[in-house]
Amino acid sequence: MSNATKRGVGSTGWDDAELLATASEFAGVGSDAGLDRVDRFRAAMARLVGKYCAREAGAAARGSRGLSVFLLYPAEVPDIVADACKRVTMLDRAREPLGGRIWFVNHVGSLARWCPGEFESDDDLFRFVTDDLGLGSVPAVIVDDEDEIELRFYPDGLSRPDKWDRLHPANAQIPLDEILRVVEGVYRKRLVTPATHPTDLKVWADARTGTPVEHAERVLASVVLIALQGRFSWCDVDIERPLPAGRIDIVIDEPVVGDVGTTVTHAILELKVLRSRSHTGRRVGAARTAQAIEDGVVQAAAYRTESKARAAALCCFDMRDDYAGSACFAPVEALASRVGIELRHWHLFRNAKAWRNQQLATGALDVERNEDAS
Amino acid sequence: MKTRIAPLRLGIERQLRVIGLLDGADEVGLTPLATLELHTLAYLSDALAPVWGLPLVDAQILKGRRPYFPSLQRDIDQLVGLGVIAVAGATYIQAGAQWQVDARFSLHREYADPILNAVRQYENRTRELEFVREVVFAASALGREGIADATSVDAAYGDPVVGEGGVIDLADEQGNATADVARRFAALTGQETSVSPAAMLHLYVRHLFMRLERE
Repeated sequence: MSNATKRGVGSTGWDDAELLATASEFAGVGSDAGLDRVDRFRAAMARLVGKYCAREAGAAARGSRGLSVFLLYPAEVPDIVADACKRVTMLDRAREPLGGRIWFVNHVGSLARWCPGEFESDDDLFRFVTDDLGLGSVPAVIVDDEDEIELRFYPDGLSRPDKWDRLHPANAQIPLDEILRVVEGVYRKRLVTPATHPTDLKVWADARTGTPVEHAERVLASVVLIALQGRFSWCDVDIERPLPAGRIDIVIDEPVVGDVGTTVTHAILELKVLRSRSHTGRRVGAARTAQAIEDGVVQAAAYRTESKARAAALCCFDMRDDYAGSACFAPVEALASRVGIELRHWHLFRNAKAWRNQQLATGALDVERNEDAS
Repeated sequence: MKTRIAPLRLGIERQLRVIGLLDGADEVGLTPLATLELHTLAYLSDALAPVWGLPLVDAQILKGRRPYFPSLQRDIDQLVGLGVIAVAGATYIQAGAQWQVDARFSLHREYADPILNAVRQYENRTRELEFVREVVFAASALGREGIADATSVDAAYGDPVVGEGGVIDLADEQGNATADVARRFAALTGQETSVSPAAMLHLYVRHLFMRLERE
């Protein structure tokens, strides 16, 4: 018996059942410590709305349907709404109606103030926040439960209405596509050429000769982990988790609110680095690469099954000399389809010139295409 | 683990802790902090420090109606004198037979930020700073009134076995009840390795709220 239990019986009445009830109600709280305040705000909002959705009377509890906006603004509220504002503690109990309100919250999402905010149109809401409150640059989450609940996260505030991410309520399914879009984003921003690599996380031992570092998968997993943890900050993103069947490179878990100790695994990602040569400079042949890809498909399927993950993908980071696109997947497409594994391929170019040439070859630099895009 | 700090360093440790608490309070919208709130948060920092494997600053406290550390107040006063802490609404209130300062404190950023930046150059200091900030982040859920009342239901401070005027020893050989209860969350959920110290801290504070609500 622990000290806590012993003391609980004899003195102040600390009861395990009550502790469990608290742990269950606030599953996941504090697990985002270490992330920056904007990511923690995002996590807090996902948990808050997820908790409402999990309740039977969720819709009623959210109050009047429509828009509500949450502003990451723990300081004194602007004068024009000061008199109308009410304070809420323990907002993350999800007992307070949300709808038709403008919320001013801290990044933990626990202490908040709100004022009524019914607007004729979305544009009126945006104008009120940006022009009247002067809080257009404050990170914001808009919750719209007019029909189906939808959360939009504006990291740069409502003065940038074009820049938003869809945010999922906690415990809602996160589509694998969305997870892979984050990997795509980190590839484009951080990995595509050596110039973009984080200074302390290099994947090339010598980019000039095309020699990767010894544990390139581990480095890549760390880079991807940071991006995924920020984007899905209400989840636990882990790397190299051991299982009887091997080690999962990346796993995205989420504690289930109301079911203490239980987690749902949204996805697992198996990472493979395709090389022309090893870190010692020894050539790696095509047959070995093909085998690594096939192994990756089987590993991903085994890990997904063992960890009861909702989805799994094989992510290949191609550090080979020549760009070959996703042709490397041709031999395993049938197998991957059979076992339900998504396949993704990203080429890491050895220098910026190779990247530019590849863009030119695929037409990505063509005027017509760029005019269409704009 | 070293659980106590050499006396000569205590003043500096306390001052850094106060700066960290006020910095955290600023970030969650709790500043300016009242004297009682600041002392309560300092108490919770000591009571919960073992959860993070950190040493205690003030391991013993004379139990009153609410936590009040005369030594901490001296260090706060010194920081006020140095201009690091801004003070508003200072007055004296009678607490039993003693008089205590009652005021509201916040950081004077021009002087506090260079200190915080210097502290962040050192890994162990950064960890301590992050810990006290996390204590404030967790406690913000309680709001001002809840923070002021928190110790009445705290496992160690609220233990009725220790009456007013008694000594609460947070560095007791058997540990302290507050840290034990916080750690108990990890044991109960069956995830002792995956419930982070920060999560234990947040769960503990939220449980204090539940207890306050019942009272």
